[in-house]
Amino acid sequence: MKQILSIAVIAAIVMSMSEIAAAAPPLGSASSSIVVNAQMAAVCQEAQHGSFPNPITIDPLAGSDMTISPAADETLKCSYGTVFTIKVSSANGTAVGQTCTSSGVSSMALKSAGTPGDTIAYTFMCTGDTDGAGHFTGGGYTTAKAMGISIKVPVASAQTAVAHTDYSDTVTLTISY
Amino acid sequence: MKKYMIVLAAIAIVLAAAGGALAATLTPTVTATGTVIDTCNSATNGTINFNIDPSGVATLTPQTTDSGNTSPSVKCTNGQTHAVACSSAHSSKLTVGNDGSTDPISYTITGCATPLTGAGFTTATSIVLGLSIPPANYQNAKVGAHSDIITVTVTY
Repeated sequence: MKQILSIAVIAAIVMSMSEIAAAAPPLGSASSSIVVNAQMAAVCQEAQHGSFPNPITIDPLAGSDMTISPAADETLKCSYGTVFTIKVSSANGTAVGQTCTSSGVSSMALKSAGTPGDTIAYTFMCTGDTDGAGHFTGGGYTTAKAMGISIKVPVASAQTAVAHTDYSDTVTLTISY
Repeated sequence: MKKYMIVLAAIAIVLAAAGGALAATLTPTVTATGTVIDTCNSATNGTINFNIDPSGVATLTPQTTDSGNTSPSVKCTNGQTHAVACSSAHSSKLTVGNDGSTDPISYTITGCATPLTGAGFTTATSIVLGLSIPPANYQNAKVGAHSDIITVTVTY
């Protein structure tokens, strides 16, 4: 009986020592660092292609300048805070790479396909320009920015226009950022 | 008298023989016990540099193993496994000028939960980490540099 008790005591001591070892605090630590650098790019993307009603009816008797709103505005998604400009070129006018502002780009022209000599001068405007100098500011990629495009046909151009149903122009917009 | 002499001679022989046995070779042993301690040192820093295109629609997952980046490393006792912990200087946000507040881009650290097993002190063990940034976190971020610092701690 005495021998059995001695074994039990030894076993209990061994178990206690192993529990102490398991709960031992860490001896130390080693640290390093990672420097993380991310560069947000300035990019723009067309969100919606702009277009105008077809046909546009020009009334020579309107008596005032005609402003034609788009069927679909031109919209862009650009990096938040990116300042960009829009350059306008007219296929049938003389405007090439003109900065589009709220006051508009002149030297644009509608031309008759059947009678190329018959043209109607007009102005292309970007009313989304908020500073009057043709600067737009990106609102991030979840917010499409409207350019606010429109066309103005001066009353003088309308009054002298020859009647045709085939006037057209192709406007090229170049976004610079 | 002659008879006693014989007895003494016999005793002398026995003692001589016993003396020879006591001079035999002894082979004592010495026990040497060494303990290799569990430790780490020689930690090196890492980098994660990457570009963000806000027009993207995928979750960004830059890694320390990407080209041009470096993984942090440490040397630890061979075969010992250790927990790795990571902490960001600015609550896991990349910010302009690393100021912790300007235009924050939130991210999560990946790979930090993987324990590190030491390879001895002639071989540094790399700690491969990465970031995960869903598109909603960067699509409206401002143009320019955003940064943060992650501290990696190996406990032994």
